[in-house]
Amino acid sequence: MTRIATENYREEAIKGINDPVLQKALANLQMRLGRGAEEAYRNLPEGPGLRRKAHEIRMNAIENLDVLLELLADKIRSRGGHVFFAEDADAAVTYCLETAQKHNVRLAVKGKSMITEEIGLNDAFAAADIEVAETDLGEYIIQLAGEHPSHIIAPAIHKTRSEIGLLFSEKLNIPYTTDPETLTRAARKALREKFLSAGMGISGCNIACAETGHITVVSNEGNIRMSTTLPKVHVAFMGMERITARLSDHDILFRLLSRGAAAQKMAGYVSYIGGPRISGQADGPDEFHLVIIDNGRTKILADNEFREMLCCIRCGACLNMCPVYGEIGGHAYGYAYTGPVGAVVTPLLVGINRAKDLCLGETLCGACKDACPVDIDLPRMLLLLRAKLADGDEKWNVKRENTGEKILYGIWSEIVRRRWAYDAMLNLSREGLRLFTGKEGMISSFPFFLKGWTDSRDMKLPARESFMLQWKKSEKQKRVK
Amino acid sequence: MNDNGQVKFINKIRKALCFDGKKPRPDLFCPKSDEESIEESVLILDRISNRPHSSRIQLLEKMIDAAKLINLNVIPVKTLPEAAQEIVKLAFEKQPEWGDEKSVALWKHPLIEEMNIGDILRKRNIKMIFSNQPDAGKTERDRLIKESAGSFIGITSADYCIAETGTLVMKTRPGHARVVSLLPSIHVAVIKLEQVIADFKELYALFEEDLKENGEGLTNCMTFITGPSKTADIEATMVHGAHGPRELYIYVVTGT
Repeated sequence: MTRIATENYREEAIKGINDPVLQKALANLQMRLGRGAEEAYRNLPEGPGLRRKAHEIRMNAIENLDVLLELLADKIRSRGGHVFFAEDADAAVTYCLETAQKHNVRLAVKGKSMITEEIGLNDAFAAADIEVAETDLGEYIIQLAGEHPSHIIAPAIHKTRSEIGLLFSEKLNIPYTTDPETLTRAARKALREKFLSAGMGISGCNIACAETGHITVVSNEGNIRMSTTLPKVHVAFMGMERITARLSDHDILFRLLSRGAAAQKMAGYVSYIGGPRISGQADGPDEFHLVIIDNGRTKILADNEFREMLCCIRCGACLNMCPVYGEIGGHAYGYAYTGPVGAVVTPLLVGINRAKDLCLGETLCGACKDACPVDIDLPRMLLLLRAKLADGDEKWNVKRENTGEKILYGIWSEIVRRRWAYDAMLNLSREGLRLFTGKEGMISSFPFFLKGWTDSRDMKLPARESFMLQWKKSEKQKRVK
Repeated sequence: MNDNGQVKFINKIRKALCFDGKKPRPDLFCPKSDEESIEESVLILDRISNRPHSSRIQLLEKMIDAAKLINLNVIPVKTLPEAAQEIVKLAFEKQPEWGDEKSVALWKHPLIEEMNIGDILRKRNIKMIFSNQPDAGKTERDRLIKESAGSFIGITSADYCIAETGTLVMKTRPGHARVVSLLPSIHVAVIKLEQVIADFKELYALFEEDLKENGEGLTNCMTFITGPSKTADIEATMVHGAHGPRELYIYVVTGT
């Protein structure tokens, strides 16, 4: 089953903040890719406004998803491919597993795909005693170490070269080295053998095209081309929203995807795949299966206020800009999707109450919106999720998180609407706060639930007189003069 | 009827979108109905077919600059025999990555056949592996994959090459095996100057034209290749040759 650990947000976040290796890696990543993407957008001939156009293209596809998916399925079937529509994770996993068993697959090679993380494919294969080899170098390292990825496109950023050197010397039987080139060669050799002997290749899908009936897969390493060319069976998984109507839409989307994800002008390898090999072709898979997955997406689609989230193409650009992700890293998000995209999409997929810390943890600074190649308004949806947590929501089955907070804000709103009450409260707190004066005239520890304010910083004492009072006094003095 | 869950799935989407079949749908597949856009595609296609030699050379220079940034070698040659000479030199100089035997995998493609490098390679004991099966069966598939995996150089052509990014665009056809540009340690592509186009906008305009004309379409697998295989997954250090070719050479025949 899928691993959901969103409840551990706080502990994992603290772990991340106290991990010096991760801190350095995150800073480096955000500097390189975050800044790089920003510059790449600016250098677009059409300017950063192209992202708005991309948003329109994606929204148009989302709002006509039924027609587009039917067309895609028809086209792929007409080329001899199989298309399966999976309502949930279990249906998708079972279909793939049965296909593997039908072909007596002992080993499957997999290109990096977030949706297979979402549906928990690897665990199901392991339980059925079929080996699944991750083939993206970062994912391979993580798999050897028995961990989970921490970034959508750079899954192993939290590992140092000496950790990887130790890991490889133990698992791949090579002499210990910290040279990235030698380590990459070792992985290349080990995985080359797997590519050539695997009975099944598994991939995700970046953006399908309805008009021509193709899925697309993108990588820099070439591992996805290997996984989709060498094994006799190829199974591709796609979230039902990952499609556009027209081929020409891909021009804009791929240019933006490459820039957003890795600050590149174009990714190393992009393949359009529309079916199995045909007579006369010497390679490519004999069988091609496309699994189109809902797994909670129709619920997002049905809600006008969250529908926009389905425009997301999972490029990871928002992670590279987010100040919160930049401090806590990916593991805190506790699910396949990390960073700002995870903070919105995970609560919608696994339950808003269950994943509440994810959306409460973000800052609403808006950096993710500026980073997004398809201009998704993530801050708006983060706020909306918070509103649901504050007030409860029937449609999304959200329970009010904190009744005390609600009552407090209720009282607050009564007070601020009355001048006299507000002044009285200020006077009271001005005097009251002095009781907490600690070292150097600062407040350094509040009791009970106010503790959070002073846990990591000291607070200044309020001024003896409010600004309004001082203003009135100075006006009076002026008149006297 | 077993529709693999399609009807139920699609109906759920229709319900979520509140479609009752009464509301008219926009025409999804030709939003380019505005005259400006149509004019634009016509202009792009015109520009491509009427591009003078001098502009093509300029595009090539642009491509050479773009290639430098991604460790891609773009090499202009005047004639095809000159390209052949360069490739033979490469085959002599470079050493195989796996094992000692040297073998070269090739597409069955007029441009590559015309180079006629077979005799000279054979004299130097370099094996040739062709992907020219007219009706490639299952054993043929296994043989080609195995032998391509053992090759240290793979020679292909391409449909187009994009100057802005140095991207090779390849469709899959009989004789144009996918593994030739994937498994060998060094990938060599030979193209003519006329195949160099400016950017992706031009490429997608060409595709559009092809779809309209009911041409072959994208085939069952079309690949864009931009530079040699690369990874930066270990401490963000760039390493070439993660899984695909470690080196990539594009020879562009410019004509005299």
